[in-house]
Amino acid sequence: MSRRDEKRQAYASQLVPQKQNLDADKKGAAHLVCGLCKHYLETSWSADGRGSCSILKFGSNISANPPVYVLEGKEGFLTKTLSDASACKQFEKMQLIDKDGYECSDPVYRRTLRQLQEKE
Amino acid sequence: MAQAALKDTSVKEFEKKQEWWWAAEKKRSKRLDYLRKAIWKKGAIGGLYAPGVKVDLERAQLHTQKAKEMEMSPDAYVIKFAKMFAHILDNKTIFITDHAQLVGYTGSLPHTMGWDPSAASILNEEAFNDPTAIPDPVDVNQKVIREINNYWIGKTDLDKMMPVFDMEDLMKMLSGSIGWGVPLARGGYSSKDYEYIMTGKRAFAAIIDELDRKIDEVDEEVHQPGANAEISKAYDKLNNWDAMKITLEAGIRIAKRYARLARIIAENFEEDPKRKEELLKIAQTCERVPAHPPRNLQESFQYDIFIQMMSRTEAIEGAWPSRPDYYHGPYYDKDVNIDKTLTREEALDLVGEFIIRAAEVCQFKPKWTREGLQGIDGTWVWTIGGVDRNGKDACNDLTVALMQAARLVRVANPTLSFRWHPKVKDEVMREIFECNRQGLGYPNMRNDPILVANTMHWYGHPIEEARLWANQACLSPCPTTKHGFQPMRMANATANCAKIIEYVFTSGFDPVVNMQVGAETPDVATFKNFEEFFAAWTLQMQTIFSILVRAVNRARTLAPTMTPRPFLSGVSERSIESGLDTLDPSIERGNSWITAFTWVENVDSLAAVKKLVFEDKKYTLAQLKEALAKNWEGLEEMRLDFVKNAPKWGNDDDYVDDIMLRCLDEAAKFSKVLKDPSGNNWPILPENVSGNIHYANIVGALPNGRRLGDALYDGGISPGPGLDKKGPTAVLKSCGKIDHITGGRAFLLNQRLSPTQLAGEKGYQLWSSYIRTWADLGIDHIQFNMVDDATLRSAQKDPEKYQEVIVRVAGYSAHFVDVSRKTQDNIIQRTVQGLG
Repeated sequence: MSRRDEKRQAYASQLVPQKQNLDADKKGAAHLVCGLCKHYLETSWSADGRGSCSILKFGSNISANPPVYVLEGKEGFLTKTLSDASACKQFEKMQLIDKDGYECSDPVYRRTLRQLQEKE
Repeated sequence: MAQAALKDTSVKEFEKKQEWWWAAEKKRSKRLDYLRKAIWKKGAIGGLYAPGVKVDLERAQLHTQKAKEMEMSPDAYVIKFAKMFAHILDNKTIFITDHAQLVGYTGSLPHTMGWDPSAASILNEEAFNDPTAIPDPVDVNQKVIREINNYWIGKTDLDKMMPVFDMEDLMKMLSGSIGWGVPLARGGYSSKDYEYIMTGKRAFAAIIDELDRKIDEVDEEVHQPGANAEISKAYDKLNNWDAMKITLEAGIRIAKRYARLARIIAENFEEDPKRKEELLKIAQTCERVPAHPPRNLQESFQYDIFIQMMSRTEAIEGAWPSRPDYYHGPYYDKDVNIDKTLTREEALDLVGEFIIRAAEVCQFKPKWTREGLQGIDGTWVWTIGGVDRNGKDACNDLTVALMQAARLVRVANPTLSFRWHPKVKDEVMREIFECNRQGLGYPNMRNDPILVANTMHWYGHPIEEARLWANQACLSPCPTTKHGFQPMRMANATANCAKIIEYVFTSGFDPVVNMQVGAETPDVATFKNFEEFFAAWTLQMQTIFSILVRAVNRARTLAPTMTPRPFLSGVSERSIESGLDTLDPSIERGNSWITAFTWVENVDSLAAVKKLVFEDKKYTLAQLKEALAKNWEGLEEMRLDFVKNAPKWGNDDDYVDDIMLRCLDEAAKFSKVLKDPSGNNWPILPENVSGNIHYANIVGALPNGRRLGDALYDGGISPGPGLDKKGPTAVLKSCGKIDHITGGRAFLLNQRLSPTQLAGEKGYQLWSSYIRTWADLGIDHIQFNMVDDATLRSAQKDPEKYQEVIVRVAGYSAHFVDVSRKTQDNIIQRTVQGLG
């Protein structure tokens, strides 16, 4: 595999816009989702619910049975705010900060929290 | 404030208490007061829009409807795009605000934000996900948005551009760690060829006639016997000219719709004879412009507003490059001084309304833009003063009227930027001072002789054109001329420079976005001396700048075919003449720059490493690397050592100032290695907008003692808040060591001054003397906050009472209550300098 192929594979999930389906998002809500984990990181793409993990690396799969944890590598593990993280052993629930919704950047998870609230 | 209290308190009492906003409310005319209060606050509060401000679905639906209808049309893309533009203008809802004399808005209703669904799926997803901006009923309209978004997936400008960018570079940019914005030619800062369209020589009808002649001429040529490459290119030119014509004709039609609406209201509904007369004047104005050149001030303003509205229908524009006194001034002079058809008071009303019409403009923008530009929709930095093409003082009565009107309407956007030169009259300087003293935070001061020379140095603009510059966004001068004007500056050539020094410690790996972004420089712990350390810094700087510039260059190269701008081309002499889209780099001289956010952190960090690690040998690089990785946790004593005992920029200290010069020198050298598609240079422009807050959680701990999450420094070359301990002159002396012509594109400098100290004639003399020192040192920019801590603290505590307090954030002003708490605190932390 060429270096270019590797990059393409690693980044494809973030590059391709996805169709929006209101109903699908409301089904099967997991109690523990990546967006509630302190290792979840927002990116510029977080508006549509995407982000990455600060622990896991590319190749991990937390929805597999058993989950696959890759901890080494240069590419991060891309996930979504609402991905089911109940089986992930790296999951650590973050402390929610109750702040004015208009606050900028702090907490950085403002949007995540709102999405989660809507989901409930 | 209760109406009774407002009525019982005199203007003088309000002024004495420095409550300028109440004084303004009492001083302005009833019309201006109504219009000022009738606008919806569109700038995001922190990162979210104000309650009641909603995405405009009508425009998105019209756009989508026409796009679907034309899917099978045989037209070239540029013509399809022009027809979509025309469809929106022909069918959008229009309105005339009560008491208004000027018309035209980007949305369909006053509280809406124009949303262009063809720009980027990433933006559309934000519209879908942000329930605060979705019009009621949210459930129903979210479905409407979903339908629109699903149609545009894979068809938006950015979706189409993505596959042709380098994927690795694109992802590094889109990680949000090193850059800001996306490389789109229909989203950024767009200047105009004002010398062509705003000098009263021609307007849309005359341009359409010229286009018809061009089309006939070339159409005849292509049908002559023979074939060559030129003839092949001629088909594209014909399509471009056709598209330009479609947009200009649509522009005339929407103006006539406004004229018709004004007449209908006047003749059927309005009972007040004076207002009826005003409505008929609006009708006459819109029948005249933009089809024909303006003849008076109202027509001139209206013409400008129409051009801006149309340009913002075609693209998402984040700035408003403009020189209103220069281009509208002759009409002010004619109406007020020569023909006397307007009194000064009537003219002031019109000028105030012109400012208000700009203040209400808004287009829906993504989160990172909103957070980076808290409190405003974009940087509407209007340039005033300066010189004409022959070097003569260009200030006129409208220069003064704009500043007087600004004090009456007190909006945060647009702001004014004054081109200072030695021939500016004292009466004009007093107006500038008064605006700042009354807490507007503008006009900022730009050193015209320095910037004219700078513009010539970096891009080779001829002196006559360089003298016609206007701010392209916050600070970058750009000529408003045929080959000099920049049709689009893409915001993503904006570097989060604090990452440069951060990456030296992580070998380019970004711990926040978990990705290798920078260069894989050797482990910092292995560097034996400062020179090795500095070499790694230089490589990281070059790597980050290159990632951003490569994407912009690629986008600009492809823009004429993939994201053309037929309307902007239709008001650009070079496109009318050549048949090429105005984005075509071959017909632009080039005016690119890299905005350098969070620059000074590098200088203070480098100084700290040099002093405490390599000279004093108090710490090793390995220890420092570990401390930064731990975000200084458990190492507060060590952190304070780096804060207090390392030299800091802004204190006239050669130790650290020389490091600033060395960093700028490296950047300037590399600016000439990088080339834009016009073949011109990429100098850096240190400034921040609100990026210092936006990036607070993205930049890790730094050797200047900063922790992850701390606000970054507030300005391009402004010292860190509270770190400039040797007074205002020392700040100027540090900044004056930079060569503001060859060292970079421009350099933002924030200063806070005490409004109490600057009261009265003595205050003006102190400020005036300070400005002379600033000018003598050859510094290109300075701007002031003159609101005291007590007022700002009160506004934090009781925001309802202080809704109208304005502050200078960075290259722009904002209402204090509209910026996040973190930004508010950062403004208060800035050192209040005492003059004299």
